[in-house]
Amino acid sequence: MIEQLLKVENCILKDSVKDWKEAIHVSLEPLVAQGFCTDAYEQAVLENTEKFGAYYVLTDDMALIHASSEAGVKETQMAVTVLKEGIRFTEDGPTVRILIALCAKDSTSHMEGIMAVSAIFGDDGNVQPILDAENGQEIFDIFAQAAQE
Amino acid sequence: MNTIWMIHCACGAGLATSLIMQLNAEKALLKLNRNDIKVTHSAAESIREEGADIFVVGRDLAYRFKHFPRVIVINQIMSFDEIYEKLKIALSQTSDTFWIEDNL
Repeated sequence: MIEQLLKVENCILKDSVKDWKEAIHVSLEPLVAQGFCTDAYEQAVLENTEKFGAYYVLTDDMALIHASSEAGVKETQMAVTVLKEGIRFTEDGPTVRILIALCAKDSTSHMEGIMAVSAIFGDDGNVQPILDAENGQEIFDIFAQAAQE
Repeated sequence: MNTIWMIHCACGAGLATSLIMQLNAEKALLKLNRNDIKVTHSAAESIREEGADIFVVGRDLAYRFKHFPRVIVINQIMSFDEIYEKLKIALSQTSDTFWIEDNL
């Protein structure tokens, strides 16, 4: 069930962020606040970005913000933040509006969430409903629907 | 080419990109009638050459696999079509080594 991986209240609309670091902070904030991961997880994402670049920008619209299971993860969980004003993670990169935060305690417990992401952002997916969503419930419903496909 | 039993997808953290590629690869193998081939995923760091017959990796980490015998490099991580086309080419190779990177 997607409900175990993603909560309605963790599907959030936000106007803007000032830079990519704030984008990472904002996207992970619900997961840290609710104890699914610790601050060390955010730190790991920042450090990995310095080392490897913006490895989590997977399409022109979406970043799947995550680090490895070892970096302060307590329980598997996702959160989705949709920005009204997109953010660039690198100078020549796309302006991303959809931030999906993921912490996973092992390599398979988040399978259903990844399947939903794959369905929405894959070749036959449709991103527009998320970009047009007017509240968190609408965002959640799109993920719940995609997880069933 | 020797029989292909195992395909392994790799990424940095071993959680997201490699799992997305695994799901697409499994779907592609089904479409290619090759569901006898097993697909796995993990972080690139923990991978040894003898762990699988073909390795699938994103462009950013491809350099780590330069000396592996059979490698598919994926440019669009979310694209099923890309992994399908590249697996089709890989599985029809007669040579025991290949590096499939350029999009068609």
